[in-house]
Amino acid sequence: MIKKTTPVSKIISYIFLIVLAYIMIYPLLWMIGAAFKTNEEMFGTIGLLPKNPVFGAFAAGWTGTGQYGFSTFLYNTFLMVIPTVIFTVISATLVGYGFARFNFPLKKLLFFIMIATLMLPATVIIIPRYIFFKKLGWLDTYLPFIVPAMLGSFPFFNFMMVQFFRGLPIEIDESGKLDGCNSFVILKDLLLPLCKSAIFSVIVFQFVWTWNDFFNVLIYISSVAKYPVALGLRMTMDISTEFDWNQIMAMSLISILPPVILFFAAQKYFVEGIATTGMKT
Amino acid sequence: MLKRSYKNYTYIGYLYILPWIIGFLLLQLVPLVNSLWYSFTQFQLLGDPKFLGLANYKKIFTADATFLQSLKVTFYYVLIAVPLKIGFALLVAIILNQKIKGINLFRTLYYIPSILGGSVAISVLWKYLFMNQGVVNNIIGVIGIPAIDWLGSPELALGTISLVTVWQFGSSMLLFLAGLKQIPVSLYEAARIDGAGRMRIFFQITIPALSPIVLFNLIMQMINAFQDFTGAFVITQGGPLKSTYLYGLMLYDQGFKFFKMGYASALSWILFAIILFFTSLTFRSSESWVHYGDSI
Amino acid sequence: MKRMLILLLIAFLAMGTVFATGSKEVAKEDGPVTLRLSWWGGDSRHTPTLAAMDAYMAKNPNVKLEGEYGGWDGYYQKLVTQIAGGTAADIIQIDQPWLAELSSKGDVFTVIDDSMVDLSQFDAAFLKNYCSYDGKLMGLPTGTNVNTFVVDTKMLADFGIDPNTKWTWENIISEGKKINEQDPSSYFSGATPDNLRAWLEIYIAQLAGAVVDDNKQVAFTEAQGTEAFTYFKRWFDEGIIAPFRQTSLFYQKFQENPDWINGKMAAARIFVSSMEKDFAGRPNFETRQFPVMDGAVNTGILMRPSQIFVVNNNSKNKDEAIKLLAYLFTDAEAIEKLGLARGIPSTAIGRSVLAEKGMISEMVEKATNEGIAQAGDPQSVYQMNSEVIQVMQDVIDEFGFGRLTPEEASAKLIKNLEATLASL
Repeated sequence: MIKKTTPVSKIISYIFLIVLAYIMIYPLLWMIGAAFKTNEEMFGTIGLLPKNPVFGAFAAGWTGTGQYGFSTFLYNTFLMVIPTVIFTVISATLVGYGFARFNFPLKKLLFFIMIATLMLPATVIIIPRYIFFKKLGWLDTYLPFIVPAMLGSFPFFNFMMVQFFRGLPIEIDESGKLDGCNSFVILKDLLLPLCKSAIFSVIVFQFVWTWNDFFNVLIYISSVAKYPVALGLRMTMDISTEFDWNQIMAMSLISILPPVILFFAAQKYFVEGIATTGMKT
Repeated sequence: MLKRSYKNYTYIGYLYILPWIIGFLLLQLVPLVNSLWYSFTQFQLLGDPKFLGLANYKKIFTADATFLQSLKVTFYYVLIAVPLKIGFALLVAIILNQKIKGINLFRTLYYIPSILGGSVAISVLWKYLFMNQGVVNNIIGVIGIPAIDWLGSPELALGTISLVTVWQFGSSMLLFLAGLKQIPVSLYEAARIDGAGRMRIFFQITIPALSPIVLFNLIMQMINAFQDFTGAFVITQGGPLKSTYLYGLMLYDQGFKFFKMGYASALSWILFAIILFFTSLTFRSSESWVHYGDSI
Repeated sequence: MKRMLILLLIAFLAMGTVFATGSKEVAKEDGPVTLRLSWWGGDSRHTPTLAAMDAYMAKNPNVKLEGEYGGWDGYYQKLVTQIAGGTAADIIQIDQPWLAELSSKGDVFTVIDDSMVDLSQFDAAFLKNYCSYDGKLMGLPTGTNVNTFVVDTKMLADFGIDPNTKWTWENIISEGKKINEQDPSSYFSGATPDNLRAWLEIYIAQLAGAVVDDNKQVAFTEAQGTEAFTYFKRWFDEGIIAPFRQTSLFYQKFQENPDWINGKMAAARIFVSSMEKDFAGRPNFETRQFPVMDGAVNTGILMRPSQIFVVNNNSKNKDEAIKLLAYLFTDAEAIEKLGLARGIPSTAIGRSVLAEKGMISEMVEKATNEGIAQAGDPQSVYQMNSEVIQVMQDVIDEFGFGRLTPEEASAKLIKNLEATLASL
């Protein structure tokens, strides 16, 4: 891409990348160590490796001692996250395309309203939205996550797609038009292939955010049988009775695996890029 | 400045944004209007709101020292965390955009903090790193620097909390990477044929082509940072001496700890106005520095 | 045309979902009564509670019980949201200060009387002082929880302090300072800022009866406040307590402080209910009496229910809910199944059943009995108000960070308390 890099600058890049990588994953290494420590060792000492490792945190955390094991929580999370992600991708693409490539009355105002809905702190929306969802009968279901995804109610992603579409040269659309394509075909066949990395970003972000979301699932999901991992992880953490942090750490590690795997697996969309396709002019 | 290539209105655009319009009218409008109404009332969550007129707003501006403190803390936080995070994300994205061996691994490693962001482990972890007897002090102790109260001193705590935010630069980085991938190679080739050097290519091609994403990151990170309080909530609880008492945390306390939802709503709408102001400013300024592919 | 169709399809699909799901939830009246119970806790509470619920369902096939349980994080916020939305569980476990806080906002809980549950099993004063609002009984206490003062006897001995010392406010300083004098990184007290607030409340209670009284008034004079702050300034000056810079990070979690875990702090004021957690694996703790000054009006030592079970006033099956409550509190089978999931039971039958089975630990029992013996008057609901607590904490923080002199702290505390109390 950028001009061939000289060896020296490459070495500097490497050193920088490696040092930074260590800082970035230190927490992860620490969590792995902590999954084998007692509470006292975890809080009382520093150092990554457990001095007197205790085993069994993974097995104990996985089984749990209540009615439901961790596998239930994982399964529930997929049930909630996958539809949410799929619908977010579809709605964000359509809405983003609409705002990016068409001109219609009140467009600027509508766009502004869309961004403005992000500016009001969620704290004061929680109660009215809760009551509203209650009236719809959505409490204790995953609909409060899935339906907003269908209806493009995540302006972050809409805006994001707007920016990516607008970054693409307009000549692509125009060449499509000359070939007699309608606007949907232009989106589907010409623009989308150029936005793979953006689409992938939507998938990763929405997956990770919904996966990790604690406050919303806390409010909307009441049945333990429907708990996703964010609630399952915290369900033994009491303020006054003792609980084993190593189990929490072990399950935290397991629960970040799906997002990490997703990220790693879909990386090729970043590597390939789009640079050589699409352009006719 | 910008000349649209679509001169005529094409109503088809409405069709594409229809999902959002429906979503806005059905899901978002009612709660928004409700919270605006609450801001003029005394609403203790249970029972009906009592209309107060402008009393909440008056109290906020005349008799609430915490409001000023939180506002100050929040401005500092936005000023520190947002530029650092975006700058850092951009820097790393550019380095990662080179053809380097093991690039996939690095990219994943850098994104891991953003995945860990919501983990229960984080609150414990940051204390463990930055407490008086913690890892960081241990490291600087080796080179003879005395222990520093990273999270315990009112002067430093906010900076340390901001580090947590910067540490999760992964999402911004990803967007920059996606943006870099979108730059047509032909542009670079043309520039190279013109004999442009690396720096010139960077500033005249890469940065302008990336500017829509820079704008997006800037706007979004700003909106988020003004409301953000996770780090302060789980690590310092707003202390010491309210030095990390971010606006969002104050709102949360007022609403869910003190049951003053009316007051919290008023505070929210003030924050809304503040964010609106700065976002509009950024959008306005963007006309001079953001370059879109649909402009000629 | 195709594009129109696709888009319309999506729109309708979405709208369809909105309205189709809207009409659910109404049709489920017949059949067994369903009762929902919500509580927070760890596994040591979840498992026994579920077992007791199963036992109840086996006996009462017409009742279906559903547990909604989880950790402590967010429990209160969710409860408040549910109450506001009219969706809270039928039986709810609450923390004692919430009883007044929630009751003051409306008729949230069902009033309980002797015809529903055998109240003679409980200590009448306990019910009246801690589980009632406006003279009406709103819930039942799961157990008795008291403040206790614990010291690490070995650590004291190591620093040349008699581990059997009878503690007074004065010798906490004169003896306690020996620790920091010998090892500047060790302290007598493990107190974090929130603990120091509790100590201040105790001290002021002994001086003046209370911080805030039942009439919503500040109960101490500025001079008394200054006296209290002057005393605690000596804790900082003479190395009894670690600087706030080091401890504020462990706000409400002093037991996670490495200095505490590693035996660099000798003593703490804690609640019996969290005793085991607070000991953090240190083996040599013993309970002691709190210091009480001569002529104290009130010891200020806290006693309160571990938690309270209330019946939601919105519940459609209040009678069934109260029946279940009676079972959980007074049935020998339930008591045995629940064990110590919520501390030592507050019913006479509960204590005797568990004592018979040898389920009560000696240390917990001793600490509880000592605490009850030393317990002071109940705190007024205003003193437990979360906003009032915040006001106290803010002043303590400024004082502890050296931003306020004792005189300034006392004046500021009174001024801020008065302003907040007036707005409640």
